[in-house]
Amino acid sequence: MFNLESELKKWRKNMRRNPHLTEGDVAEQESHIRDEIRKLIDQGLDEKASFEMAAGDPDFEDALAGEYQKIRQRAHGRPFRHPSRFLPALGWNYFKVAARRFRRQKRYSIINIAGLSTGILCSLSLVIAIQYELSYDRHYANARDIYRVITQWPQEFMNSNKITWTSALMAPALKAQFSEVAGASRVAEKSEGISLAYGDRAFFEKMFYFVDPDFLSVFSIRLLQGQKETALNNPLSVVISEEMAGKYFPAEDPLGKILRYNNTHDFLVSGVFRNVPTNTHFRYDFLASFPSLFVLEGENAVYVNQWTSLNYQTYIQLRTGADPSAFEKIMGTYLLKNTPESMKDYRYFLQPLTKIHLGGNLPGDLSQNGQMKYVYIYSGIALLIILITCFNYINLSTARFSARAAEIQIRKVVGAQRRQLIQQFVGETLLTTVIAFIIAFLVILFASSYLNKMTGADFNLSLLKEFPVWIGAISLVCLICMISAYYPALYMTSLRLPRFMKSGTIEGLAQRRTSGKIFVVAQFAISTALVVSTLTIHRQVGYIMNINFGQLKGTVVTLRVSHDNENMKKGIDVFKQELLKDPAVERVAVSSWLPTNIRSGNNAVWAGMKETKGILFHNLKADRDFFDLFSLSIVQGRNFSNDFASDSTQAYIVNETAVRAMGLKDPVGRRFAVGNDIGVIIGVVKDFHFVPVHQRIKPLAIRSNPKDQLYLSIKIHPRTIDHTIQVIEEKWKKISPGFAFSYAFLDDDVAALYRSETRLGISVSFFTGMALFLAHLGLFGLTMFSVERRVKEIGIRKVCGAGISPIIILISKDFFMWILAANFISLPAAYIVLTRWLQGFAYRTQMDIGIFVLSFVLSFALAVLTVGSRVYKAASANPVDSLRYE
Amino acid sequence: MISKALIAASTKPIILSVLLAGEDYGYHIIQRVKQISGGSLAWSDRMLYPVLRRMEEEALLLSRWVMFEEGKMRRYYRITEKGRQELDRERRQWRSVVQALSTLWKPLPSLD
Repeated sequence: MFNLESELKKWRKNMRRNPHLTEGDVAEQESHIRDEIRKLIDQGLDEKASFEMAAGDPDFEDALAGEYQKIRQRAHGRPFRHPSRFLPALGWNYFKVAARRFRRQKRYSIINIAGLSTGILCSLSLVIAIQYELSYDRHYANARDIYRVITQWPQEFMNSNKITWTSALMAPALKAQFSEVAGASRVAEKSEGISLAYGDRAFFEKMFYFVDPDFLSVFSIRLLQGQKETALNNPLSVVISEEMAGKYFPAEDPLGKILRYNNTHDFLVSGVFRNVPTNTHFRYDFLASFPSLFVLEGENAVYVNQWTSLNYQTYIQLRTGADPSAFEKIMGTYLLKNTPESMKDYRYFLQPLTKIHLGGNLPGDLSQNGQMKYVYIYSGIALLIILITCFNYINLSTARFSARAAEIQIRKVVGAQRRQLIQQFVGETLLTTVIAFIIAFLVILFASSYLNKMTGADFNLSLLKEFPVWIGAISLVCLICMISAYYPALYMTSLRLPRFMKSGTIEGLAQRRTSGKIFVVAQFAISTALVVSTLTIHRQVGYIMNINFGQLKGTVVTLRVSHDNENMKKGIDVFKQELLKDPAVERVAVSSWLPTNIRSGNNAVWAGMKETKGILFHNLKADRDFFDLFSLSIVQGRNFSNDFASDSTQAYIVNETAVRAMGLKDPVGRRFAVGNDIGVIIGVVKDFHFVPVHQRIKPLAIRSNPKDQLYLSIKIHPRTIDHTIQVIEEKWKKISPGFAFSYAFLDDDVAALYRSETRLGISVSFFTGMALFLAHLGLFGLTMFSVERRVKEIGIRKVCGAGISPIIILISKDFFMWILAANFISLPAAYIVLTRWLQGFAYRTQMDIGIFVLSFVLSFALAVLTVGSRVYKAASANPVDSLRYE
Repeated sequence: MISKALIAASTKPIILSVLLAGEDYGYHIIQRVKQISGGSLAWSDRMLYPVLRRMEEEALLLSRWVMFEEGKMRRYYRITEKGRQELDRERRQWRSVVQALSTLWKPLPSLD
């Protein structure tokens, strides 16, 4: 099919190749041909014939070129040729010039490459870390079609009215009812962990879940051993990960083996699956068949058959092409119709699998999620570091312009066009950036585990194999090249010879640059802002870690007693007494949750309440030692006591927030109930942070006599930790043989709650350090340049009698003015951003003027060191050396 | 058929005269000349454009690019002051030539 435009394009390309025709000649000729073609078409010819008539003459190009050549030769006395677009020989010349300059100006080149490598290293690390966060759950083959059902209920719990818990009836009902559902599975967790044993190998396991057979197909889990279709059909069967197969059955075939569960039931290993990657919103080592729950729970299993019992996660896989929002609507209508009247205010949503990790934390989440805001923060830091890196490069390249002015002018005189000069500089920058990239890449490759610790980022080298990371890396190099190459190239090539002559000296020209100052100010503004941010983040992290239980850190060991550990549950008092016999054990408390993160709640009512509905209270069961161990003071009434028999069943202690929420002045002695447990308030405990400090303190009701769910908190002497833990383990094994012993430190639990903040603190510190390094590297380079340029001036001033101090002040005063300006810009900006960040915490440290003063002093002190050392060296040199060759 | 030499000699004054009427572009100049001459002066593009370029370099013409359709450009020429003076000079020369030839070719008086 004839296409006029593409034929004209070919024609144009062909004409442009002729060295005697300029762009203008070709364009004018093209407009002529277009007019001619239009006329011929109007006369009735088709496009092809018209084109051939208007432009088909094979001799035309040579004839036209000949005419032009004659005219130009007559006018200029020499034949005209436009330079070739591609000059490989010139490329080699550029390379030689670049290599030569690298050799001759080693210090500048090293500063340049070091700066670029550091910048690329930091930003590439951040790209990998960001990619890791974004890659969560995307490895599942059906990731786009998998959704988790979210329940919205008419009350707020743990700062959210949405929860991930659903009824166990939901998944089977949705699968049976809707053809859109390709697969559905429930997931039940054992949040307290369980004890598993094979022979004498017993371990405490936290990643044990109960799932439907569909789970394997929905999440496309490949079984290395066992039959996928039948592996989870029978009660008490379990599929285990490759890693667990190695841990429990190092030299045996795991298939068909028996794992003893909590010393009560035997699970048959029916399959082995490939290890789950770490970038999964919940990781599992054991997947047991869902019907096992009926066997394990016995009479309690009735809850599994209730719509009102929300204890299970529901995952569904929609058929490819099904519209999730339409399905969400019909699912909502169906559930509303088929669930009990008491759930009429409940709503249901679908949460895409790939959005779970960065979608924030919801009550019931199977593990701690990441936060989108940290992805933004990391991206912001990466961008700032790229900017600092580029400004460094730009500053050093343009500052050194004077050294290149002659080269540029000579190239121009012998006919170089601006485009070619720009190409040369961009090429040089690309070369330097690629060298820097290779260095950064090698560092990442060989020091990844170290970087992991330093950056606090989840840093997975296997991501380097992934396509998006490479796209990110290449874009990074291109971005750095674009920013750092184009400005110096445009700047240097824009200067005309007369201007260069008029400025008197080449140095005079370099001094006039104002853009360089702007870049230095920007660099310092960014790094000072980062210093303020680091200090504030550390202060806040320190504040939240110490806000409660800070004084107890490192000395409280916590043990979790499994639901099935009947011996321990019955013998808990004996165990307590046994532990207290050890002189290193100071106190032992038993509670249903650890005081750092209480996650159960129920509606409470009290005598004389005005509201028709109760208030949602968090609830806890704890013994009297709990208050002493965690230094929680009773501000009204009394603690639980053995002197009152009714305390074990009817006494409540509430917190101060609860008293305020109930609007009571004198709560002690008032009748009060949480759920169906009626009792009396006997005391008020001072408020403490039993939920992460992002949330405000909520009403809390504490009852005594914990039974079903047990945590033991043991305060031990910090000097003999290892020995004491050994003693505790021995005593544990005596009372509950067959249950694996597992312990944690309270401060580790607290740290786990604030993992993302701690990680942010570490990352920001690291990258701030790098930004400071980069900014000062740039400053060092500029000082070095400035001193070199003025070495004779310094010599002459000294000969004329100037002292060292006035010279130091003269040379460095500019730099300090810039840093002052940088602080002036960055400190208010940092104040605004950090105030907003802190507002995300219900309890936060105050913005402290001290931090700003410290950052200001720090930036100045570092600059004094950087600039001063170099200037002092120059100022104290013997003028004879600098003036000798004059 | 007009000889090459005569076409070459007349090109400059013809172009200047056409542009005296106003700005114009190459293709249209060719069409106008063809029309005025009743088809006897058929200039080729390969001849005209280099001449226009030369006249521009001699500062007899000025050109500018005009976009006449989306992305399509035309180069328009106009006559300069120097061009007008040149045209006057040419006009005088051509008039002298035409006058001389007219006189010579006047039919001789009959002696009968």
